[in-house]
Amino acid sequence: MSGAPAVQVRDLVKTYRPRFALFGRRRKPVTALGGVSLAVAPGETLGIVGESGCGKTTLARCLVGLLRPSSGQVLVAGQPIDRLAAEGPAALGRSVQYVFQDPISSLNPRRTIRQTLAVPLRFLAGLPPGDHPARLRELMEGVGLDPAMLDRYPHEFSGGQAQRIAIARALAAGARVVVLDEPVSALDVSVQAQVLRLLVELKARHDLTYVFISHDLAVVEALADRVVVMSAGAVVEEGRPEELFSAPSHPYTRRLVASVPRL
Amino acid sequence: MKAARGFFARLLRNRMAAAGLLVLALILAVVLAAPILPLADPDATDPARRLLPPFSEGAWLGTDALGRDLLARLVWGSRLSLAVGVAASLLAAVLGSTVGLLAGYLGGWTDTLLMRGIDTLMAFPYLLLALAIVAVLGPGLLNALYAVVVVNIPFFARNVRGVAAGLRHREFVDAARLSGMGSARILLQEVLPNVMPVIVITVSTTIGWMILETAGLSFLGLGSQPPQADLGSMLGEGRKVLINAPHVAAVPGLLVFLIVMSMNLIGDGVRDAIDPRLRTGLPGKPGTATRVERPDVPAGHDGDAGALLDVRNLKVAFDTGSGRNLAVQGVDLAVAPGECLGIIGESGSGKSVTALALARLVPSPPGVITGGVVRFEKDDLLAAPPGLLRRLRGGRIAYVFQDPLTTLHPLMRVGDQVIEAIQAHQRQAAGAARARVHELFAAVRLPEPDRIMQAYPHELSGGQRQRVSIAMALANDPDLIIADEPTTALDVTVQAGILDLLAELRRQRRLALVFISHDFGVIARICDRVAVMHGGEIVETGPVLDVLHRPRHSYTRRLIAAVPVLGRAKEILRTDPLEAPA
Repeated sequence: MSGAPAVQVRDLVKTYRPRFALFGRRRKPVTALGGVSLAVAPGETLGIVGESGCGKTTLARCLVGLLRPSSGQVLVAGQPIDRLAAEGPAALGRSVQYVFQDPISSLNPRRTIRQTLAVPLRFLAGLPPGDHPARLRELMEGVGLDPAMLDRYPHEFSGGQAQRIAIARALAAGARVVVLDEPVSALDVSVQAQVLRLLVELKARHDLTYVFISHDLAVVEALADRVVVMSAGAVVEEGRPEELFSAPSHPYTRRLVASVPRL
Repeated sequence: MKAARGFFARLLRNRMAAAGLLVLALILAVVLAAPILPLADPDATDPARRLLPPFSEGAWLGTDALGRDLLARLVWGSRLSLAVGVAASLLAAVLGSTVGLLAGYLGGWTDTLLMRGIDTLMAFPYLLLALAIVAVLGPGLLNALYAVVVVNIPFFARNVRGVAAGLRHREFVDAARLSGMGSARILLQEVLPNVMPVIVITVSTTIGWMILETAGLSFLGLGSQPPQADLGSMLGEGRKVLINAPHVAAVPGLLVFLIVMSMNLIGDGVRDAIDPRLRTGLPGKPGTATRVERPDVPAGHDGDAGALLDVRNLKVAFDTGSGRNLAVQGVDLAVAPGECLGIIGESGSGKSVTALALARLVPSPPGVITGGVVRFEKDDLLAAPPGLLRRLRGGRIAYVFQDPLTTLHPLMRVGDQVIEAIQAHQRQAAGAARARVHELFAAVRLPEPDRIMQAYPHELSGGQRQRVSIAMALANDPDLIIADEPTTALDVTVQAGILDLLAELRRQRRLALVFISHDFGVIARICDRVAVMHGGEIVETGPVLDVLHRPRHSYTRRLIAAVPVLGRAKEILRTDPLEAPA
């Protein structure tokens, strides 16, 4: 864990301001993130756990520039992401990518997988169209799918297959940091295990850094090197998952761990 | 290509739309062939032959007040009217959809400005607005066309805006942005294809209307100018001689009717054919109970004497366009009074269909129960009359579903919904029912029952809503609760509370519970026995701890091995030789 962190977050605050209302009562602004700081070393998998409304998805979306924080800073590979974003969508998309929770709805239902996967190749990697077929085949094989499926539409895939495609899209332009927002929550357990294995394999092969968000403590424990527990927009506890989950010190973490049904 | 063929097959299956298509095709063929048909000059006047009746020599449909051949005028006039109508709808579609797309996709101030502009257009009655536009631009067919376009822009803008605004926050749009696409590209390549069906439907349902509006303006003398014929101006000319020669107005009138009618029929057909909800078959109202088609009613079978619910060889199928899909293929279950049976399985295993089929709640069509017996005490529910089923459902057999936000009525206070559930089964005065709801809400440990009774579902948290659903299930003292993934949508801390509540209620009230879940941990926490479902069959059943620790079936072993367990979760990352590929 030496050198510059792959991802660094400093005092990140995100407040949702209510919509301007001409009539009706004024609502109070909602604080989704109240000053979060964390760092992820290159090659590390950082797990983020917490329950709905704790701010973990807001944090994830700030990491890839889908949301603009109210204050604070996000650095990817030492570069502030607002500066990367200012250079155009390509610079940011080449350094950090995102995998969504619901694989089917993260794929456009009216475009084939070939069309969807060609987008990052064209706009992020700047690959000439002649080189697309070979690279597309490579991407599909990299996530364990048959390249013959490239001309199918998203609804023809199972959830697990669709998530593999979404992962292939995230890796298409060579981003080294991947933010995974509940990537296996919508999948059946047997498929979930396969996708988790794929993620581990891809990380080793491409030397990736993961920010892995989940509400499922066991899934986080399986994948993460380090885990932070979030509650009400703040990090309440941090540590190695085996230690943190076997001996939680913060009362919220304790309650969370106690609630997990055991086999 | 395949999609287009499917679309036409569905369109033609609708007989009214097929008839409309036939009529319109005939009319189109004739007007398109107008230049090569042996028609008289439509504008050549002949005062000697004025107002000839139909079937006169040399003038099949007769002549008008200036002796012009009506047939020729009708064919050329329809050609013009159709061209103007089609051009107007295409223009209105392009302009209106552009406004709608921009407003919906960009949102914020752009949306406010554009849509208030559209509202302004809509504030005037359409004919008045069209008249005003023509008054400013001067009469003429082209100006009438502009007027019709402006009047119809709001229909497209409003429809498209709604869909585009919904798509703006979809994940695939975010994903496209992260893949490096700019806003203009996202709008054209990601959003537009998903909005297209709405535009097509709006075009097909308004095109007839636009032809009518153009004809209306021409009728008033604001559209086509003499001697040029279109359907509206022909009607206008016919009006002057309506008493002496009614056919001069009747002939174009009939054609306007045929064109607009056929277009509307096609429009309705297109709408139904595009709507994916109607794809799997002919639309039909679901019946009150799942249809039962049992070839063999097993006679004289008493089943488990002590069982509250005894299911034998239950088979459920779904009718699809290409035959019957068996979703549940012969399931045996038994639940004793006060027992909790878990059903575990992955998506598509048939566990939810089984749960719904018990009280015949699988919608028919397309669902059909094709075999088996469901015995609840003495009654075979598959042979039960609708009245008995209605009394049992929500009475002695109650359901709790996964997402209470969709099962609770969004516009009714939750207290009233539970009162309704009580009064559906028991004659009870409002006051007594209210007191009972209070008692139930306290029993499911909702804080401040009085306040919560007054709340709407969206004002409650997910856990509170699920407690309300459980209270509703308990309302008529059921003997059996069927819970389908009741805690899947909840956070773990909330889930723990709901599971404890269900376990306690079961002990107190001697409730039998059928608990469906994909989560072995949850089943292990609450159930006595578990049935493992896979591919529509129960592959293994037994006491929970036995199945968990000594699984006999290979599928059960695979399933258990795939569940990460806190404390030794990394074990699932080791490749399991038993694992089947995805």
